[in-house]
Amino acid sequence: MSKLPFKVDKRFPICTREMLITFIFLTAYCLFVVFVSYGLGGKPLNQYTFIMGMPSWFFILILGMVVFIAILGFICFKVFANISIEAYIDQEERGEE
Amino acid sequence: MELSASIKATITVTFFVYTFALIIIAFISGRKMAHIPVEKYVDEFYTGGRTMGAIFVALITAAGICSAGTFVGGPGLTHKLGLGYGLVNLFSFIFTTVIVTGTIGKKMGIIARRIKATTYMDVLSARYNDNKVLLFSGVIVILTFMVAYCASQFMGGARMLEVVTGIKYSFALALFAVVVIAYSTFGGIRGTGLATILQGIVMTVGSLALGIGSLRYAGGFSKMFYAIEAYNPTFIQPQSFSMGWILSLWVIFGFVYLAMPHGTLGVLAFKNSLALHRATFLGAILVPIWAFSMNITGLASIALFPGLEVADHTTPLMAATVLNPVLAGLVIAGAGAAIQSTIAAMILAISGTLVKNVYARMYKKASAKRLRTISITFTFLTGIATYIFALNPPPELEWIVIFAIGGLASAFFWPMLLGLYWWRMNQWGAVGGVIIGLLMYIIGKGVYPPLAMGLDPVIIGMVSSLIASVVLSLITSPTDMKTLQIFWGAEPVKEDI
Repeated sequence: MSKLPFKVDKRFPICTREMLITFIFLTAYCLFVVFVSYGLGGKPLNQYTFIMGMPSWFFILILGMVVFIAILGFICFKVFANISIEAYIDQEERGEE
Repeated sequence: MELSASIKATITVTFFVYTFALIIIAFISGRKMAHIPVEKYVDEFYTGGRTMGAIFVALITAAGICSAGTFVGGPGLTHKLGLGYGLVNLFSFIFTTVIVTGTIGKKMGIIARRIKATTYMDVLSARYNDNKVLLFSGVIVILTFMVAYCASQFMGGARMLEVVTGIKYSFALALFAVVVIAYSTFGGIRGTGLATILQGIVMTVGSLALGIGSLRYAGGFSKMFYAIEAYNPTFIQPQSFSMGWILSLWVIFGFVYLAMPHGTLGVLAFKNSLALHRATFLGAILVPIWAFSMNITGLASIALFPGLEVADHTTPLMAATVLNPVLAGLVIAGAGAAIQSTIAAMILAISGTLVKNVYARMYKKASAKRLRTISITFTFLTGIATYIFALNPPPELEWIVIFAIGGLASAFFWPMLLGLYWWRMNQWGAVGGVIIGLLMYIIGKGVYPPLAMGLDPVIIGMVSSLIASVVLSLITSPTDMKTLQIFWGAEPVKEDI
């Protein structure tokens, strides 16, 4: 973005960063589910250990879902920056950053 | 599978009481809207004055996206195809609101305030110099796919009414349509917003009750799994579908909602960044509850009554079978609620595009009062058009949902995402991205399926859209500095630039 001849709003690189984090998060979750289900699942049921009534591979998926939701919570409240979303932020506020 | 008359009657009464309550809400918010000064009406109608808190944003995004697909079509297709498909439906879907609020939420919020955007096309138009070709093709895409998408919602609602009340599909459809058109026409997003909160509660309680009820009725997880295996061993194998196809469905359900005009209403209207973060997380709690419960219901239905002729009857049949009739009525009303809120959001997105992006631009001198009448008229007409489209439903509406999301994603995903985050992207890249993405998608879907290489054509559509966007942007000159400053600059554009 260095080629832009005007002053870039500091908030927009933050937005870009958060967009990338979100996509990385979603991709990681997708890979997790596909690897577990295609890697571990698919055998006849009696070849699995059952955990809480679910074949182990399915249970791992559910557990993974909970873990990923927790990670998302961390991202939402700790990683994502609380910034103003007013159209333009005034001079003093920008000075503080 | 027949339901007894008394069960049908109880469910029907519950359903109608609830639905009547919704219409009243629509009228109340419609009267509230009447106090709003005419000049502000259109803005207020579509964005609710940009003061939405976390719960509003989360629910309008989540309830906007989760709908007939989640509550009727998804369980239906799981019933028909088994766990291999159910896996996608269950797991890919759970972070669906995160896609919208997490990726484009913040930037959209700021930009929407800078350019006073009320629709999705507003943002695209502002970014791409009001390009006429883009506007025209964008409107065509929205009309084609959104109307199809919206019609699939009508089908879901009518399917449920059909089962529980025993009335004919076409009549059920008409009843359903009246409710939805009423409250989106009178209330705008405020009307849907108010109803959305009530709907969200009913949806959550209802789907939980249904999921737990189904599981208990099927005798618990392990019994259910064994029963499914006994019915058809491939139904519990993810490998019964190629990984490529499953991954392309994952793209449809898990990555592209930021390209859905109705899914982005919330990010045009949120209050501050804390509300957005909370909404992101809240969405990731609510949607898994809905998706999980509904898919368990779909799976349990394989164990209970395998091989339904109309797979979309799964949800209402399960509700009527496993739950007490009053609760079943509420659950079905809840699913109906989800569908209604999606339709409302969609109709608003469609009519918003027509009014703001086409009509207001063609007739620049149109008065605010005239725009207000036109907003209401277009919202109403959109509802009617969709209704006609929904008169002939397929047994599994989920295919229409997949078709519509695929088309919208092929056309809009890259122009939207790159437009917000890559300054070099310009109007010609966007025009190429929309048109080539759309063409490749249609060719892969219908004209010449081998083009899709065994994947859903959304993949070929999105890949070619990306290539077209990047190549065309790089060989033409960058967007003018004035526009770029609106989308990247720290200060407002000074007129002398």
